[in-house]
Amino acid sequence: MWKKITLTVCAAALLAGSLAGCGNSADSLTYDEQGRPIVTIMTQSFSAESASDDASKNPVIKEVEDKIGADLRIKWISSSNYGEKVTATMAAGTYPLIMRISDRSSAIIANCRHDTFWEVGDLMLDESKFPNLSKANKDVMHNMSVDGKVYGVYSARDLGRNGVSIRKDWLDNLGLDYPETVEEFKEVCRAFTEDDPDGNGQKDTYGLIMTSYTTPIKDICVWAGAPNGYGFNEETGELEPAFYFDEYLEGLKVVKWLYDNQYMNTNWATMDSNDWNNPFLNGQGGIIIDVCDRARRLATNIAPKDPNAVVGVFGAVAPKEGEEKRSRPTTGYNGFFAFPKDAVKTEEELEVCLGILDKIEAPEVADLLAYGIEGRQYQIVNGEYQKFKNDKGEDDKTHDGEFADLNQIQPFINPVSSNLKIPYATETAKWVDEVMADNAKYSVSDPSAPYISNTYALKGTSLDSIMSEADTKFIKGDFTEEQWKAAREEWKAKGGDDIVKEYNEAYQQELEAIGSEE
Amino acid sequence: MAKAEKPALTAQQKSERRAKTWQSIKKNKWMYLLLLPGFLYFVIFKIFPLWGLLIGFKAYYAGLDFFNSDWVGFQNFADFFVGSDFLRLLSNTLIISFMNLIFFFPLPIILALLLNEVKVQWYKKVLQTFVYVPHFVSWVVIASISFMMLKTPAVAGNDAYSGGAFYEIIKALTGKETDLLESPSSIYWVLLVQAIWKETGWGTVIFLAALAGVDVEQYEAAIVDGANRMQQLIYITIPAIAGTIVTMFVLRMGSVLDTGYEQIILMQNTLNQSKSETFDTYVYNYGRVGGDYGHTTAVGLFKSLVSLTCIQLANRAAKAIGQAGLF
Repeated sequence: MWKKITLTVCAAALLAGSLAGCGNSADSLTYDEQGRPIVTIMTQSFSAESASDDASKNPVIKEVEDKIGADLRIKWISSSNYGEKVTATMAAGTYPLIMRISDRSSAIIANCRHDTFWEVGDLMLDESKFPNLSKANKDVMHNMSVDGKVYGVYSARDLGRNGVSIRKDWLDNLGLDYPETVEEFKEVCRAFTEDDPDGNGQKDTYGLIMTSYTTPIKDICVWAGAPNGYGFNEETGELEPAFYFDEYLEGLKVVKWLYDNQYMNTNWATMDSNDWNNPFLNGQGGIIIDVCDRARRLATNIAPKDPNAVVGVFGAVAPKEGEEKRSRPTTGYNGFFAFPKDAVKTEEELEVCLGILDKIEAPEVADLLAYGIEGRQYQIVNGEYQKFKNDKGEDDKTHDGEFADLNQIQPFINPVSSNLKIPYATETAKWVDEVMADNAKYSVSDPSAPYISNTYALKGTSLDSIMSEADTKFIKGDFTEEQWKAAREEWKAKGGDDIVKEYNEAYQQELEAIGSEE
Repeated sequence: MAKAEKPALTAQQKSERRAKTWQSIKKNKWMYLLLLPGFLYFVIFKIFPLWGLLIGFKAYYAGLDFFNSDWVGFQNFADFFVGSDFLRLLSNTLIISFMNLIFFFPLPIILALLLNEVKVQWYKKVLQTFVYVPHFVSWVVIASISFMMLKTPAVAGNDAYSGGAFYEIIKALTGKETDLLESPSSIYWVLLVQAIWKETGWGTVIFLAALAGVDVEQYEAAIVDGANRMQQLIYITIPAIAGTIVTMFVLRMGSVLDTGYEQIILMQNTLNQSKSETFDTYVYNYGRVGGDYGHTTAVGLFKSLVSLTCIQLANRAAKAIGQAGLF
């Protein structure tokens, strides 16, 4: 008898064991004992230990929760495997209420199209409900849209972030100003090489510093008049990739001219981009085309090596004298916050979640997320933000863990992001902000950004490498203009034509959609 | 070959037979109950998931509803074969696999033969234990050790910084600064050496078992006939384990496209990815990370079909040369 029972129990336990683990479910909106909504957010972390979301242990999060009237439960995922975790979450259906999505992979696009996430485009722009989120930039929303619909609150990045770091003291020594046209840019590179900008009597400097990271070529091509990514060709009436345009080749020729005359480092094709700053900091090269913030870091790092060095920054450059300046903008966002329908079940719940993000956008909450609490993490001296100092005179970072990574739950849409007056560490830091604001005026947007090409999703990487290899070879003189054009034909034949066709179809569809609305 | 035709059964015979079967099940019910866990294991974990292969024929991504996603026929397969990744993956996978087959496969056999020749029993036991140990070290640990040994100095050419031990040895011997971690093709050798270090000892288990089964009388007879150690090895030992070697070889051929992903993912970086991406790592990168389940299932299915073909061919070849083969 006992044998029987034992066996039955064992068999049952085995079955139950193998079936366990199948059950799982998405979060749902609940309320805590104070009646505040409990909101789960999944976002990425960069610190070894991100801020705790337990209000009883972390005064910063308590302050934040009091201000926004919600109980936050933050699921921190290391940024290095964030994409994998998003995929796993989608596959298992264990969604949080708010999920940060970091890239536009084909899986994310497919899920947007199958209504896994709420469409929020119109709702978030409702000024009466979301005073902060409604300030969102329509161009950026267009960039992140899928088939014209917006499936989340984007996490904003400065559109005008791309810019050039340059040795301002060298410019001053030579009596030059920031270059405003491509010709002037070439002249600056020449002068930095030949006219002894550091005044040491030796020809030991050069102009442009470039690495195997070839994105700066794109900036130069945009300056020269080529479109950013894709452009509208008046003659064919179609969207075409930048390298179909003659101006793109002009841009390449500028780089080739710099290369041929050694006005740039000639080992760029094999130089690791991690070493990008070294020639600049060592006083060998004078120009880096990248993001404006690089100038800020360069200014901080060059000071101990060369106290006389001044790092300047500029953004837009015109193709020719008298023409409008141009600058290559970023897409304006880096990931977005999505609201999975499995977790956020009704439109009312969606409004609650959007409301939380809206309140996080308020400057006083944003300051908490970025700097902590006044009197605990920092003090106000003469109206300006200042960190406490420890015994050694260094910044006191004892409590900084209480707001570590917290700004990863903030969309940064509200242009008024802070009530604090943060002093600039260097003059360069001030210029960086000015140039970023200025760049926005001259930005050449990429009309293809929102469109999706299935061919590109499959073959994009290898097609991209055909053109970047051709560009490199053309600049180094291994390819003639004809050979470069032959590579372009190869790009078209191997799938490029399909990509262009798919983008144009999407473009036409959108034009028709706009036409029918009006 | 003509099939023997079964005589048609009458209804009565059928029911009799059914009753008999049922009786024998009833009689051996505890045996069948004992079988149940294993049976369930195969049904739940091996047979049941097979229906998931269907997503290879759908535009299916992580997060979608299976019934809601579109059927695309063989589109996923077509995309994969026409796409530029296929040839690269195939060549990388085959290079890694065949390097393994050529350089790694014979080593456990040689080691087993060497161990077999050790006549002092306690010494042999100790040796065996030592060579098994690396098998139990996880790939993560091995990858970390490899990084420590192979890393290049922070600033090349500056004597104030030094690289890993192995890097310094190569530099001292050849005077060349070799970056085995980043130069694309050297990844193959790194992977091979890692595999040899980790698995050679463990691989001897099956061959040692085969060696233990060799009849001692044969050796005694050979000694009487005046055969020396080498002749005993060539004429008795090796023929005795040839069947095992062939079986192992057939099994190995079946997994010629299986490189495993763990070891490679750990050693992969952007600089060597073009050479180290194999079918398995591709499925991981695009499926597990990218969420493109439909496409990667198609890749996995293709891989399985090739494996099935390979194992069949290798088995036929084994039979053709007079060995027993696997099935």
